[in-house]
Amino acid sequence: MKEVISAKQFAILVFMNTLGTAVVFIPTIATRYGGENGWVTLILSSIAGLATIFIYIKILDNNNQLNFFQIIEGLVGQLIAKVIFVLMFLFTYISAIGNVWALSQFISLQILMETPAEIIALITLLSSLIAVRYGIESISRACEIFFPFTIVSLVLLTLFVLPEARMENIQPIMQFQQAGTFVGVIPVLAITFLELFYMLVICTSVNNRKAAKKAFFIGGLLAGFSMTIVTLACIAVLGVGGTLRHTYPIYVLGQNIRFANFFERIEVLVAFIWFFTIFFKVCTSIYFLNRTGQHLFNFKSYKVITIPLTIFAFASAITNFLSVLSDLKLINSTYVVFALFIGLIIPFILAVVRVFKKT
Amino acid sequence: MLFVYDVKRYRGQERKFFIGGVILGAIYVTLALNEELDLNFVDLIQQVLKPIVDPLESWLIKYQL
Amino acid sequence: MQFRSKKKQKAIVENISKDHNVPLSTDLTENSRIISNMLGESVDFVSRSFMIGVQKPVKAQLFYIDGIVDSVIIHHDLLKGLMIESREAEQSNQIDRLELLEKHLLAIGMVNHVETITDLFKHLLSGDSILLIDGYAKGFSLDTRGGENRGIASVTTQEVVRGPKEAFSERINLNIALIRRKIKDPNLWMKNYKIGNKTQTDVTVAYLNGVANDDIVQELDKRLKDIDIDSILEGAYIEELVQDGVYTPFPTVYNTERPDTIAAGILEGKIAIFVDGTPFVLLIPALFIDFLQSSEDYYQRADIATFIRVLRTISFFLALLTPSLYIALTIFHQEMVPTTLLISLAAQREGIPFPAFIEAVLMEFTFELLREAGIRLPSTVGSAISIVGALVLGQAAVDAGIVSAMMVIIVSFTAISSFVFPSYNLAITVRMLRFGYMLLAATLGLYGIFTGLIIMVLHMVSLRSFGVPYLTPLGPFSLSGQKDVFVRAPFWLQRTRQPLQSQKNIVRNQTDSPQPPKGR
Repeated sequence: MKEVISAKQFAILVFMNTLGTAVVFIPTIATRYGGENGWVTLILSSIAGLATIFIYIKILDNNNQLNFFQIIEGLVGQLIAKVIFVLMFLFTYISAIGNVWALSQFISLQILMETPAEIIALITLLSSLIAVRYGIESISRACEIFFPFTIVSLVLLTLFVLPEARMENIQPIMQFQQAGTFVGVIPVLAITFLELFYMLVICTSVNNRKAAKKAFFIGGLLAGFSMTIVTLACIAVLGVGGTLRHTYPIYVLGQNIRFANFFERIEVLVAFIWFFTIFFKVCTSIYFLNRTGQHLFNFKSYKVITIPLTIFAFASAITNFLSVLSDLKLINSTYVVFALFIGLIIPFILAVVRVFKKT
Repeated sequence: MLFVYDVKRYRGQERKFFIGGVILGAIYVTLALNEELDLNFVDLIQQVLKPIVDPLESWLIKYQL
Repeated sequence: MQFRSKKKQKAIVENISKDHNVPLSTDLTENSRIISNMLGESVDFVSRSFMIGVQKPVKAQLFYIDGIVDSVIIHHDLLKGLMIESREAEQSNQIDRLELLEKHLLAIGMVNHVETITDLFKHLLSGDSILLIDGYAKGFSLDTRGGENRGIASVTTQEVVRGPKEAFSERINLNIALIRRKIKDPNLWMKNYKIGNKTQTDVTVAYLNGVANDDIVQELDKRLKDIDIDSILEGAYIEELVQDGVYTPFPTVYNTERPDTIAAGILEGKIAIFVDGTPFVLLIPALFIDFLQSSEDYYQRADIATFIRVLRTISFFLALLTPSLYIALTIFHQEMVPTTLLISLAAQREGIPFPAFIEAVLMEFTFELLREAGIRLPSTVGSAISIVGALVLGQAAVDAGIVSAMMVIIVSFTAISSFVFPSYNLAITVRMLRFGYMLLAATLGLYGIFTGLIIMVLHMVSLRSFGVPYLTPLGPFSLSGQKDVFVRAPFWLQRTRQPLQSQKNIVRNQTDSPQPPKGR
């Protein structure tokens, strides 16, 4: 049975996937480069991100018959395509286990103080296993249902911290760290939009290809906008120093909420946003891994791989990352190179090949 | 439960792969939990990409606060 | 799917009628002997032999089963006509006696010919009378179905304040008539099935031709024909045999004893399944939101109905999550509880021997026991149960320091919330899932509840009821469908039927919104 999703669902999936881990780490990273201009970095990254999405959708043709893997094989031949798939698999694997581990650590540090992160990683992976086995149709529909909650939480968070915002924190605009503001785009892009190449697999199951391409942009735009707002709020409320000092500035933002003297400490709101977005990001990337595996081993159904892959991912997730600090260093170095290579250079080459093949 | 269901469902090549995968995974998890095996994909990537990463990192650090 | 087809290859149910598919004999005594033997000379089997005509008398015999026939018809219309009025009819020059009988003497609405023993039994056991004439290898089945019946009673399970009070009864033809009386349209089509090898239960499928989705009608037809079971005693048998998902706690077939709900469903493009012998009629495809809606929503003003629907939706989550949220907050997330409330909670919990989780499970379990006991008991004893519940298990347990007062409040609150559902099916589902959430909350706190919610939603969106996604119009979101989900838009705004259930003929209303009279 071919699974079909609508363009609207695809846009929401793109939104969730872009926001994913990013919404927690982005304020720190952007501020580290741009200082009080961190939010400008985000605007620039969103523009660059939309350009990246433009490259991605160039790879696909308007023919609805073939899936993502067949399209790429048609472009560069079986052998090179296989190498590309393996590289993409490796990258997505690392990104997926990184996300799982980030979520687990966040929860075991901030929400469930006594539960070890390993247990939470296991639970998260098990639920994503269930999700992946239900198929992308169910994932995207569930995403559609949780999307309003995510948006409402985001809006509430921004509204509630508005009274705490101090304009002097974001001034002066574009006076210091000018070069940094622009350079910061690279690492920000790496953990947001450059991971979106795996959405192409899902893009091929959207019922209307043209609408899907448009939805890709809309999802990206909405995500870029949300991240800009969150970063702006972080810098305005916590100041540059505060944003840099905390590992999870957005969570601290939530802790600052004081409303009507009763709604105190509703940082769960933040946990909401993060948990939903990251869960769907993990699901989508694991779905991509399974589909890639299915294609590489030539299986009839990707469900064969789900269980072994989940076991592997669990083992890797709990051992491969040492600490939050080293993770942040990783995001700023190796990951950037890897993401640029897989998420920008390879798709760019593929898009160029596509353009040449056409003429 | 899901495991038994999967074993029953797949045939031939796929079943072999499935059982092999689960056994390998189980060994991996056990070793990883006991910290005997250090199969670190992240480290691996870091080693491979080191020549490109290092100059980039030092360039990026210049712009960090 | 594989399991099913394997089972089908084996004939699990022996089929009596197939072995006796023999034609009737011309000899009346022979026929009579066979029929009587096959019924094991049961006491309720009546056979009456008599002569038709005086000048050229012919032996005839009438068979029927006592109790399921209308004896007035048999005595006054049948026997009188055959034995007395036949004398006058003899005068006319008719060659064929059977034709004469059928055209002039049988004063019965529905007359069928029977030629085989199988046919004969099918009619005989459904309440028809069988008339056999000596010398002919065929006979008549005469519709004399009747017998006692409790009539149209008032609704007992889904009460409304405003709206029709009549309910379906056990008799299928009465139930169908109730719907016919509401929808006077030639497009209301009905198709009959006999399901159950032993029970031969009448099952009727009713839908509005041209509005209902043809694919669903055909799919249902296929699934009903595939049923090979010995008995159908209630609609639930059909429900379990035709539904899409096999392992799910959520109901995917709707049932009700309210004719107005069924009529509304049919008008929306759904398909009703009537089963003989039960006042509950099934409706497919059933979506999740159907279980949160009541027919009264359409009889009250739109704004009030909307308010009540929102209340119901909230109560769904309250009934599902209140105890687990309490557990999660008291065990894991004390910092989220406002300080004053936390202090009063802590004071109450002082001296309680159980952890919050055990306490909650204990109380919920007790409540479920009380509820179940209350249903099974005769109504006169029922009030005793509520006294025991309220005084002994509520007040006394708190006074004795076994459970905290807060816990009693939580449990009662949950109970009240779960009584809000108009549909009993969903209430049971929620009751069951609640315990799962309590366990999750006790082990993983709020994170556990979130995970549980996500898995539940994933499961729900993967469900389908006859091909229609279960959470339509929320799961695959449709803006036009929102007019009748949480909001009940006024009728002049609801111009189309719900999408996905019927794609064609969707306009249902063209009335403009009411205007005040002009010129004033």
